[in-house]
Amino acid sequence: MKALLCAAAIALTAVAAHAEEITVASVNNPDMVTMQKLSGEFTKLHPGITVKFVVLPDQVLRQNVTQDAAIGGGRYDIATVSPYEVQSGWVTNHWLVPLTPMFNKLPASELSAYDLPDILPTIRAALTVGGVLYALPFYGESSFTMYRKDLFAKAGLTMPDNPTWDQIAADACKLNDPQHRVYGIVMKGVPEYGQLAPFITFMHSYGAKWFDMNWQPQITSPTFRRAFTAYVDLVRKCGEPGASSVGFNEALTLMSQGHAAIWVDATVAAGMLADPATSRVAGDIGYAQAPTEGSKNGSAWLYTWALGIISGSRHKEASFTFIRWATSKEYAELVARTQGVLHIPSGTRASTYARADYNKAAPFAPIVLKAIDQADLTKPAKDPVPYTGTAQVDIPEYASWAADFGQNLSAAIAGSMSIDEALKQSQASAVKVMTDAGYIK
Amino acid sequence: MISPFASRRKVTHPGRLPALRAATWPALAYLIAATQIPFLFTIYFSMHAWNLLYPMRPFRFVGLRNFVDIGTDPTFRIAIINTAIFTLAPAILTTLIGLGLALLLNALRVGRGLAYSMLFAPFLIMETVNPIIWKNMILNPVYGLLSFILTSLDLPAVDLLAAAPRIGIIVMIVWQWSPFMMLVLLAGLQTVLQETRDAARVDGAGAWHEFYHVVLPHLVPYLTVGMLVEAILILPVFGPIYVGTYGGPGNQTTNLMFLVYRILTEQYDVGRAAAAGIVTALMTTVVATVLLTYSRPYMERD
Repeated sequence: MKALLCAAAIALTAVAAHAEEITVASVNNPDMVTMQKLSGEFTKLHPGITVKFVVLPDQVLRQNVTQDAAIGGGRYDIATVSPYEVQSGWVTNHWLVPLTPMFNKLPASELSAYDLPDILPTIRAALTVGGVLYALPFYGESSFTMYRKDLFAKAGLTMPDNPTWDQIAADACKLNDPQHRVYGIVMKGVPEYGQLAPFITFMHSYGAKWFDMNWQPQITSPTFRRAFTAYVDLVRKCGEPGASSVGFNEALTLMSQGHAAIWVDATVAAGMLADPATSRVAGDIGYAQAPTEGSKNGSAWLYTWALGIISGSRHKEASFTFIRWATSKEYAELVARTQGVLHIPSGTRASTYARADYNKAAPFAPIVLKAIDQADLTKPAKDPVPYTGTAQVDIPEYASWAADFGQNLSAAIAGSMSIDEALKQSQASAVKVMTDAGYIK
Repeated sequence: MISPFASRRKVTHPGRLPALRAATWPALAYLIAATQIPFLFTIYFSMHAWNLLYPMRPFRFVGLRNFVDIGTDPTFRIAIINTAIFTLAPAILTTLIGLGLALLLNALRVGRGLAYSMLFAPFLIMETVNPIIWKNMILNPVYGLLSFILTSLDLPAVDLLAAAPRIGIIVMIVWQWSPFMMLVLLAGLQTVLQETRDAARVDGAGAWHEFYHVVLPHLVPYLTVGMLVEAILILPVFGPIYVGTYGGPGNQTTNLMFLVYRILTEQYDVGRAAAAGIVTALMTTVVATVLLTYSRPYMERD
């Protein structure tokens, strides 16, 4: 008996020694949670690899992974990264493993099964630097306009397919009905810099820009001022009260509980608003492209959570196998079969949008696809600019000045700071950060 | 330090070896390692330029530049003022509220246990859950309880976190910490002898005089300890600010703790964050030392 136990123990140790454990640091959004749930299927296909997940909110994840990558800690093999990481210095800092050489080494059959060209071109471009791919997209999104069809019909209004912000503002103010706690539009005003994307697209759609070609901050320029004023005025006059505390989740609550008529935000929200289990307005939501006001460039953002391999990883091949599996067509099929077709991670593969069952379950799918196809994060502004990025500005210093900007925008919305003061302080902070970092003298 | 103790033992137990001073070194070394090394590292980092985002830039000695940088940063001044406000206002308010609650509870004859448990509950709620409750369920101007009450009274709804964010933060801290003060003062009240109270009554003291001349002097050491502990624990408050207002709008609710967090996690500037952390630690030490020195006489019974 003892001998048997010993043998068993030795056998177990042997298995443990052969099994490679890879650690995935992931954001805690629903698609990633599904991936974690289904990772058992991956282990069935690849018994030699075990997968461990560390799931965190995106800001915390970004901090942890940045610190780990920067000091070469090797805690994580795979991390969910966004275009911001890929474009803003993770590649130049050599924190991510280039994937193109790994694809080149794959057998032809596996390469064609993965079908790289099936991944939407704008998404692929967002994860590519100098012609080399650095992460595989798990999920992709853009931004667009969501509105209450019933309220529009009752007021005799129609939403054009390609609205302007002027039209949106006029309609929002007509539909604003604070007495019945239905507000014309819901807009974010929370001071977190991670929630600035709607403002950034707003301001780009007005033709404004953060920097000129010499990296001089343009926050006090007349165009920027016009956009900033329009944003603050619209939310204060016809938007929800308490906007200086409203982020994505608060906005989703207001919209899904019927307190708002228009919401311009991430395309992923459409699926949440269409779910009758959590939304009181499922079935009443119409969709249109993101509004423009003189500039199509940068008027909608492009965002993706992608799986990248951290350079410090000691299990690069196993990690590559896993990220290919999690972003493959087979994975999409697995999700459709086990979780329902609406739960296929959206915005990454053309083949998903070719599925009849997906288009039936997600009436917004064609508009989402069009939004993603047209959102080019390499041309974020009307004028030529030295930066890329439509949801952020892809430079490592972004958080430093954007955090101050977010605070000032929030204060202007709360009414505790004048628009001119907010712009002046934000400009000063951006100039200081860019000077310290050596972009300008 | 150990010698008088050791020599006395030597006398009472002649068979025992004298205690060697060296025998305490491992313990002392452990104590230093566990408590001081992280702080020494922080001091070391605070004098260097090190930003995680620029691995190509050298890690280099910059002397006191990080301290000068934060000293000239206007946000840092706001953070110091806010730290003072968010410590003093709750310390005073929780004392008043806690005293009131403790007096009420102490006078209660029926259902004291139940009332006590309910009043104490806010203190057991996590520091980060507290602001979620307040921000979403009570203070939200669209679907919060406060706006519901105000609008049912035909009053305009208030967006407290935008109109007066500092008051919002103070309310959250006070709600959480009043039960703590209540607990401390209730313990004090229960040690007031009934005989003393009776004697005061016999001498013709009214309720107010009994409270002011008998109960309150008895409570002074409890008040002092309670406020001291509160000041030290509330000074680095983080949860309500991070979750409730994210330090805003416009940095109006950014305190030193939150500022250090921002420097480290938004700018990845280890040097500056270490410098700001040292300043915060020094301020806490100064406040605690001053409070301890001035409050010691009140804590000692005559």
